[in-house]
Amino acid sequence: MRLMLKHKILGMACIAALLPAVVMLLLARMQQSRISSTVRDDLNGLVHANIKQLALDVYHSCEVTNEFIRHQVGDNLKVAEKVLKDAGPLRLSADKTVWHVVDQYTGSSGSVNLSKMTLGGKWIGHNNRMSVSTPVVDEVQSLVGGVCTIFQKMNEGGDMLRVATNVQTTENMRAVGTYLPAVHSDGTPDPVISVVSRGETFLGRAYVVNEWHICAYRPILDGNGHLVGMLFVGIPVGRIASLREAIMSVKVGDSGHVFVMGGEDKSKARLLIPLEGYRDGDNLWETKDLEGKFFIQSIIHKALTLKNDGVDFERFLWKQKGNNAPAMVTAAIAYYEPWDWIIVANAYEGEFHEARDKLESSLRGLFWWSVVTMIAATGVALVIAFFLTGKITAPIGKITAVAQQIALGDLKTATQSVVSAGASGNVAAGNSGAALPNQDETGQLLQAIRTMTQNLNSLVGQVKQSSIQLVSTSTEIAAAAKQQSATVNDFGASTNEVVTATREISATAQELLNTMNDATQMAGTTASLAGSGRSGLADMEANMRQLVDATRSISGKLAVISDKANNIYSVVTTITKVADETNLLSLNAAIEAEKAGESGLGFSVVAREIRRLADQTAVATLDIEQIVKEMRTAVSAGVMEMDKYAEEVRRNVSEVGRISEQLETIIGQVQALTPRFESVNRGMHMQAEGAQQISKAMAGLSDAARQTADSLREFNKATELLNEAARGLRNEVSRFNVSD
Amino acid sequence: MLMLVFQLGKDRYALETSHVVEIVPSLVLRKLPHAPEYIAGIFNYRGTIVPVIDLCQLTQDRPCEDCLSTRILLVQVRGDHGSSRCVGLRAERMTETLKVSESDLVSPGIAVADAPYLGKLINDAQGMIQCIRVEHILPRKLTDSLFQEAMEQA
Repeated sequence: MRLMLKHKILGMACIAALLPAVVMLLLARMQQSRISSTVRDDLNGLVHANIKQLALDVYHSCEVTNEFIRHQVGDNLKVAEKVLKDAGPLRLSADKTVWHVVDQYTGSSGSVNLSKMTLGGKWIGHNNRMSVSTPVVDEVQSLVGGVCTIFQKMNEGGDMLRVATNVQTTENMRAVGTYLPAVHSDGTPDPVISVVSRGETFLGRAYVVNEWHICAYRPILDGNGHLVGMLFVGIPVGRIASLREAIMSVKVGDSGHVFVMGGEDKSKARLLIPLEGYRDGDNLWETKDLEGKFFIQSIIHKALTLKNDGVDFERFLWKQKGNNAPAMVTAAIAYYEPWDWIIVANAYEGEFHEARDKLESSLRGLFWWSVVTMIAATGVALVIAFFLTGKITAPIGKITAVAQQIALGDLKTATQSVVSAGASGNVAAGNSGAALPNQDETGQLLQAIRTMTQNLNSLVGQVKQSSIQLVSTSTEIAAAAKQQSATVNDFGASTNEVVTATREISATAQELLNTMNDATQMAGTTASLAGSGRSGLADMEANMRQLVDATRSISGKLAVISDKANNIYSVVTTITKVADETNLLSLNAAIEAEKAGESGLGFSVVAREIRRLADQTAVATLDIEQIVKEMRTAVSAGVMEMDKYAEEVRRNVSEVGRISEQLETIIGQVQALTPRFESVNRGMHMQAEGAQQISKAMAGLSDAARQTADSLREFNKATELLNEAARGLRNEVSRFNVSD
Repeated sequence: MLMLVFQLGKDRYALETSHVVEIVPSLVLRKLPHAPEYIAGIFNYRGTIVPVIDLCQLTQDRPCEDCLSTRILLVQVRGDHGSSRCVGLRAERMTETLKVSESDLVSPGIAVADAPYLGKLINDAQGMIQCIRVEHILPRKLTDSLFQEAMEQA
């Protein structure tokens, strides 16, 4: 398929618009997945780092708190000693009292009979109710907080019984009656009692009743220096409100938490700082995640192997807060050994993936926006391309049409097309000088085509004219050549004729020569004859003169007759006039008589009579007049005849004289002719010779004429060729229809 | 009544003598330049200037022959306003009168539009004589010019 320029440009525009967009899309697609995975990794790392940091933070908080509490406990102990001292001397009275005692670890109970412990002489008693105050311990608690207990040595073994305390049991009772065994059930000595037994103060962590405390134990000695009991102050670790709140307020992500559980012994897997949905002290040992994994056991196992501030991780599937959907949770595990705390900071991975999801969705959005933009850009590009294509291809189409017209030779239509192409759209110029509104390349091309067309037009027109002129000129040349050829042929013929004529002249000259000889003789004879003629003429002249005289006398007599006739004529005329006037008079008279009526009747008769007489007179005079007229005519004719005759005679006389003179002249001339004839004779000879020479020259001239005729024939052929060439040229050029 | 007989060319014509003032010989006339050819000229008739019409010229397209018998007939012509003028008519062979009665006049039976002056016919031994109606003899233009002066005076 052949693509039009328009389609090519449109295609180009489409490709130009689409290609970057497609490449951009591909890149965006690739970039999207890469960014996505990178973000996932980064986020995972971030989550790990975050929760690890949280776990460590809690760990370090614990360390700091531990240190701080140890100091506080030391101080508290001093306060307690002071309070105890102020309360009065602590004595064991002689009175005994029975204590129902319970081992705080094993729970085994028994009863023992002990001396009453007095304070300032007052028995402390068995106060196990919180509502009733117990001296010293409650005072200490009110002063410094925490808990305070006074132990009494139960036996020699060293078991220590709480006799006054504000440590609470699980039943919220004062834990009096519980005791701290000197030797545990597994045979190991109690660390506190072993220190106190040596008379030293114990400072550290201890399990009190049912929870761990940071505490201090000081031995109470009697006056003899025997150990009778010990004073205890402590702060339960799990109830350090600030730390607890700090830990509980920690959030990881939206719903991630930090919780703390015990690691060993009784508090193993027991919640110390709880999660949501659990309470303090809940045992999590058997807890499974949604996949059925005992993840708590795994966490505890991992935690107990950690050293100092080492951190390990655990992942498990857990239901998400709010919608209970399963979600992966990552937990960072730290173990604070001094407190046997397993610190677990967990975070729902999904919450951190939100950022990633947002990023991905925004990337997806970007992708789709790119697609939309691409389509829009392509559309706009297409529209613009369509518009521009129209702009570009329309003039080119016109130019193509013009070029085809030029190719077909229709320059007239081409010129009109060029002019109209200028008029429509951007070329609005009837003349070549007008500026084009569009001066881009197509406009310039159109201008160039127009100039070319005009030049071609004028060129072809000139060629046409030239060819026509050439044809006519060559035709004229041919005609002229033919004419010249004919002329030359005629010339040849004429030359031949001249030769012939010259020969004839030569012959004639010879004949003339002979004739001249005869003429010379004849001239001599003529001279003698003329002489005799002249004498005859002299006699004739004398006769003529007598005749003239006779004629003159006849003429005179005729003149006399003429005069007489004239006289008669004048008389007759007079008579006629009289008759006429008479007639006139009679007419008037008759008229007047008529007018007069009856009285004029007689007069009218007279008038008629007069008129009759006048008429008769007139008739008579008319007859006379006629006769006289005839006579006058006759005389006049006679006179004229005589005059003519006399004239004739006179003329004859002069003629005779003139003839006589002429004869004399002829005689002289004839005598003079003879020598002239001789010279003519010589001339004739020379003429004959000259004629022969002319004849020879003419023969040469004839040859030349023949050669000229040949040359002219060749020239004629060349002219015909020229004519044919010119005609061919004109036919070629006539293909072009030129405007006028 | 008495008729004056004359010739125009070969034809004879007659005019009633009651219209005639006088017959005078054909005398030398004063020519009027640029006048129509049928006006032969003017002459002084006893102190009055009289125009002369050549009837031969008028009817035959040639002037009258210069003969003694060619004469001038003075007639009285009436104008439209009652005024009258003396006009000379030149004709040939004006030598005879003829006495006729009214019954001798014969109508020609044909009227020529361009020649309203032709009247009735008289037969005699020598042939027909055409009567001339003198009141129509003058061309209209001439009549107007003749009486123009009179009209102006009136």
